Amino acid sequence: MPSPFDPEARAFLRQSMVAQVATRSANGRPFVTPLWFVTDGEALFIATGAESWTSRNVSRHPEMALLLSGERSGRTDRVLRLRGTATCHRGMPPWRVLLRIVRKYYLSPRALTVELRSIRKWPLRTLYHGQAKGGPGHLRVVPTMAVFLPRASASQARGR
Amino acid sequence: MSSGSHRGEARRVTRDVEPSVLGDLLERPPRATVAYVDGDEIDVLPVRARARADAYGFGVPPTFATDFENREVVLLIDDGAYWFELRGVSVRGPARRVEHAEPAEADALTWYAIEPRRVLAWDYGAIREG
Repeated sequence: MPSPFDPEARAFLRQSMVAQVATRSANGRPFVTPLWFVTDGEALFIATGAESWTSRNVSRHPEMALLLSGERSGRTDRVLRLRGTATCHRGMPPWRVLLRIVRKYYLSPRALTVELRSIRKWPLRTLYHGQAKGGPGHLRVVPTMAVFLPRASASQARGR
Repeated sequence: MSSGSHRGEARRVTRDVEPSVLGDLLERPPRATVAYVDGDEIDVLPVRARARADAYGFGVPPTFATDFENREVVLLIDDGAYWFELRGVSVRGPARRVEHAEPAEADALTWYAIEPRRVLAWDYGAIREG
């Protein structure tokens, strides 16, 4: 089992765009949602609202599990599952983290293409974010365990 | 407060859509995940999802030992990396073992159907005033 931050896991994290973030609600029910993330040292920062379901769940049960797909690796045969402990924070993340988020999700060539294609919807996005109860927030996750899992792929489903 | 922000508060913006709008996503799910609670621990697995009409199911390789029968799960089917590309469907409900999967799938994966108690669908590219 790789350490959460051994070179192979780190490389896979760099190649992943969206994390499927699973948490447990106050009454112990499962919840999962796709969220953006960046790494910072030996932690992951996850963008979410201060009072989103994920943030509220983490406030009660800090343990979480994440799946990462390595979308930019070109490999589709495995995913990385991380377990870790999260803390919930109100407001924007530290500047260095915010810059990483901006670079990853808004300034890459592909991101710029998507952004410019949707330029007329920017005001709606601003309004949408403004509606979020509690305003912006973020999670800081310290991974404690990592394991690569095979993806239940179409080829596997066909028994190849 | 400016009149602009006042107007902003009055407008409700949504990215929610009907699941049927995401037909291509549901037909060929690029990413599918199941979350569940095992004891006191949250867990998550990559799965192969199947969505037909209002029926949702997922398959797991037999190497995963977890039995999902009667267990509450959340199936997440999602796609996209950048803001206006993000879209997905989330289905919550108890899982039921499906004994008779499609022949091509029967041997390799263990299949479950979800009795949907709550279905949410979103498409940030379809953001609009609701």
